[in-house]
Amino acid sequence: MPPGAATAVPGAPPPFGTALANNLPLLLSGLVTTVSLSALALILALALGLVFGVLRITPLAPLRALGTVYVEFFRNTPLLVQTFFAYFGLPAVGVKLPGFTAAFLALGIYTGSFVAEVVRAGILSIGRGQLEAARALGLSYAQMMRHVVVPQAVATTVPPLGNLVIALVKNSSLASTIAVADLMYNGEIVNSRTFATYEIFGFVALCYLVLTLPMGGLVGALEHRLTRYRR
Amino acid sequence: MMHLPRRAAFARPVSVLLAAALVACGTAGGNAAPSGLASATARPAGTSFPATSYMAKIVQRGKLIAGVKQDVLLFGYLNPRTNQIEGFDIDVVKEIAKALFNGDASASRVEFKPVTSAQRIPALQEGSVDIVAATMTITDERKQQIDFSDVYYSAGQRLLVKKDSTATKIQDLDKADKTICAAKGSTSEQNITKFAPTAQKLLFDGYAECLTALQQGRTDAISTDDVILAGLAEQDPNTKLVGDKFTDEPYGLGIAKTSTGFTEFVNGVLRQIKTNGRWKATYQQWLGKFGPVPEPPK
Amino acid sequence: MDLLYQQLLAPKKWSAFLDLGIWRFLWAGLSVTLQIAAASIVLSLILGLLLAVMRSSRLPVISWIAVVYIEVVRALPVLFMIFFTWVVASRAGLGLNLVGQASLALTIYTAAINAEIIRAGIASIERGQVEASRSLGMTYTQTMRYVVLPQALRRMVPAQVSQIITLIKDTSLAAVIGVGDLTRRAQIIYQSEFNPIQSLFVVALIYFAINYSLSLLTRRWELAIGGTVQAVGPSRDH
Repeated sequence: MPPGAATAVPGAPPPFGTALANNLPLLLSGLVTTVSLSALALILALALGLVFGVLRITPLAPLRALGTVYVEFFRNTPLLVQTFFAYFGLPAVGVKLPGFTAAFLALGIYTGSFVAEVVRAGILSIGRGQLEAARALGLSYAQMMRHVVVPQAVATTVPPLGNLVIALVKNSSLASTIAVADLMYNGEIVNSRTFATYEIFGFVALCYLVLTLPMGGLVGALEHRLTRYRR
Repeated sequence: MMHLPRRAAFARPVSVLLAAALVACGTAGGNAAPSGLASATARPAGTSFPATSYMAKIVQRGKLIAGVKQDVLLFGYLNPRTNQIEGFDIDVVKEIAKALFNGDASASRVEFKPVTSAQRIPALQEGSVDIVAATMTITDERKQQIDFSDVYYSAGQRLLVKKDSTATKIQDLDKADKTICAAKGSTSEQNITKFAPTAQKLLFDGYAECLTALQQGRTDAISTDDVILAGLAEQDPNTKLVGDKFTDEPYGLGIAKTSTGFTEFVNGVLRQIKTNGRWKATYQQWLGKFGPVPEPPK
Repeated sequence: MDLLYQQLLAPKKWSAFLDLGIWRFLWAGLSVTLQIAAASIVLSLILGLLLAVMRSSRLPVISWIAVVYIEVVRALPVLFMIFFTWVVASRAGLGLNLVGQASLALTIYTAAINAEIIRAGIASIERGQVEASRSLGMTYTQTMRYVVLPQALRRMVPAQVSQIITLIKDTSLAAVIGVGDLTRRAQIIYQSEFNPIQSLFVVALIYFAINYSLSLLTRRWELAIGGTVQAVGPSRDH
């Protein structure tokens, strides 16, 4: 039976907003957990994505295979399964991770597989012709990187990365399934205590909106600029 | 909550489920004792019921339709191997069928309709079932919508711990270094706060995760209704139920308010089985391994 | 090292998967997963189309409603949608079972994404083509039907398939509200068999097999429609 579904609290319900006001500290601490979890996972994802993205385009076949296995396996399997694996699976081999650690590791590894693809696409988007032309024009390696490679790579990768950051923040909510006191978890707890579903979940929704909408707007603007340039 | 089918290949002692399935088949056929149900208060089986009573309607139709759970191990559970729903609730319904149909509680006389918690009351009000036996707690709120029989099972919150645990009651875990697991937002969680306020709480979305957490030592105990705990213990024999009930969840059979005379009839049947040993036998069959058989509830 | 062997490779950890009953159990979970996915795909396409049409409406109110729906829903976690739908649907007494509630939540979420895929697909057709068709005397409907939509639909396919892959992964979240899907059944298995690593891995492989095949099909498709493949549609959602 879902919490908050039972009804009939005797007497008039308290005015709209009291449940929220009384539990704000708990919800805000959940928000902090969500943000810190997301930040750590993002760092991990960027690191892994960079490494495996580059691996995917090295000339060495075994390294390429390793990169492909990582990317294809982790982005085609559900994050929930990976999270359960980190939290409920690893203890079987003696690694009993606390919820927060298991959550950010799973989230980072999962998101990293998407970052790797973005990195790969970014590197590949610099056509070989440009590099040859740059060298032919007498640009040094450093100049080539600075004026040719990096600006284009950044332009190609930043919008998709922005999207991945949004997805990462939303996916951080899965930590609530392994008892991490993030925004989603605390929201559920407060909801079941107070039955003020619309207030509490409304606040939780608002927090996620605040975390993701600005980034979404930014990415949308960047994508628009990029598509216009391409066309 | 759903459970794993027992594996034939694995050399485990015959599961309670399998044994129960065999016994249940046995009782329906041969062991019926219709005459035992005759008493001053219960209608003797086989005699005709007043034409306006709900019982007459059932007899005329030829079968009793009961709303039951199909995913609560030991109470109302669809056994994937036999494709039959079985459990404590099912057996109680069969006793009522026996009273209606002169000792006959075979498949042609009783139809078990799976219902969810949310569907229990609407199913009665719509008339799609005659009676509901689905681990339903008697509450004042529900009494406004349907009738309840007398209490047929006294559930309550208890503790599930590992076999080697020394805890014997919830108060033993009322310490800051102890953890108790429950489902997020359940009344069980709130009761833990009440009865063991200093204990740490580990909350998951369901008891499946709690059981794994207990197995991995992430929590010292799981606390919720003994009905659910029994189902968990059934899955993991390395656990045990301890402690007396520290909350009270009286289960009653649900009957529509419009079913004339049916509630009295059912109560008569319940009184019978509580005094003639059938209640205790049913309890022993399903829950006997978890503790001594208690006295039937009043 | 010995522990690793014992825990990872020991036969008794894998023996559950020699039992046909376990595979039947998992198969039932897979069909629940696919049921939810199929229902959500179909319903979200319909709802998504409606939203896309609303969004391009000339009436600002209608367009605005669609925009708000799309932007808000896309900004929320899928888990949030599932929980919220679960709590509200039970209260509203809609008579939906858990599978229905999960499908409803995923439909609401995916419709927003579909609306964006459709919009991006149509917008990706260069204006020049539309202008040329109009100057050739084709009506708006004819332009859409013979010029814009065929190309747009072809371009939308990769994004749609990508969304289906995401959807299949997201069905695993239904496990959290008690639905007996593939992920939940893995949990049930490892509770009695004490093999979480093996059970979760087997289930992960099943998801992988489905999703990887879908992604390979997409790549084939992208090559088949050839030329400059512009992947249209939002990549925000994973």
